[in-house]
Amino acid sequence: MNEEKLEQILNKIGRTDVPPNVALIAERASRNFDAALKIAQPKQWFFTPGRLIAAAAVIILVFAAGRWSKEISPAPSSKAVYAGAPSAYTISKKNPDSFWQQKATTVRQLRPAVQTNISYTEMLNVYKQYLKK
Amino acid sequence: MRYSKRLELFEKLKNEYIGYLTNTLWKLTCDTDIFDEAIQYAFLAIWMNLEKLTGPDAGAYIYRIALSANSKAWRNRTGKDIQVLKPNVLKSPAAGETVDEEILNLVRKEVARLPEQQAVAIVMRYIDQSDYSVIADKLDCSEETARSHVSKAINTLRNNLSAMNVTES
Repeated sequence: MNEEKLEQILNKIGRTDVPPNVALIAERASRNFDAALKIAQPKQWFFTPGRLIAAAAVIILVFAAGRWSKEISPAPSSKAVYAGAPSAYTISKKNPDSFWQQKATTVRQLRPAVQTNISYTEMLNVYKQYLKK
Repeated sequence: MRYSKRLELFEKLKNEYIGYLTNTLWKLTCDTDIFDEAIQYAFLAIWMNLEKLTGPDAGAYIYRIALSANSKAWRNRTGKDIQVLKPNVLKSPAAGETVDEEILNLVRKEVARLPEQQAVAIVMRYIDQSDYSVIADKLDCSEETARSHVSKAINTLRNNLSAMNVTES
């Protein structure tokens, strides 16, 4: 095939008529592509990065405003105050004569110390008094 | 670029180029199935390259998109369900008209296989009937280079057709 013939063929291709139904095919393809784009579009999340940052800033500001509106309380004293040992047996104010209340009171009372170191002279005196009786 | 902005731009470009794409792709395919596939590829390429089509080289880029879509559609179709060429019909002297149509289809198929620059030059020269100055302007090269592209494309086509043993009817 020579060059001239090939050019004639190419010119003939260039002069090819475009039938009207081809435009319809193109329109249909365009609609199909639009539909595919709608399906493939990315999800629109409510919390976009920008909105998240804005929401965080608003929350921080609201809390900060609440904190600043209060008076600053004085710092607690650094002196140690002895509060006393807490009682192991709490006394109920409602029913002071209950069984457990009496038990608790008894336990808390000091018991008299038992004298075990009695001298021999004292014992002898007590015995003499007994004999006299 | 935001999605809604992309959609808007795509609609604009599609409306602008759909006439050109329909005209060129039909001339290069002349088959409804290949044309349908090619135009889908062209839309996809427009969507993927929106930024390039708004730049200064948009005019040249739409040619590349059209020819790339044409090549892909031909590659997908040829050998599957379309018999482009029947050599025994070609060589039959009794079937003059059929031979002519078959050769046209074969040349279309070979145009789809040309390197990009040569294909663009051939399409602009013979399908769009543009002057060499216009081709040079669109391809951003000198007029001599544009002539060279067309000449190389003609040679490549001739060699490929000769290799397939295609003779004049």
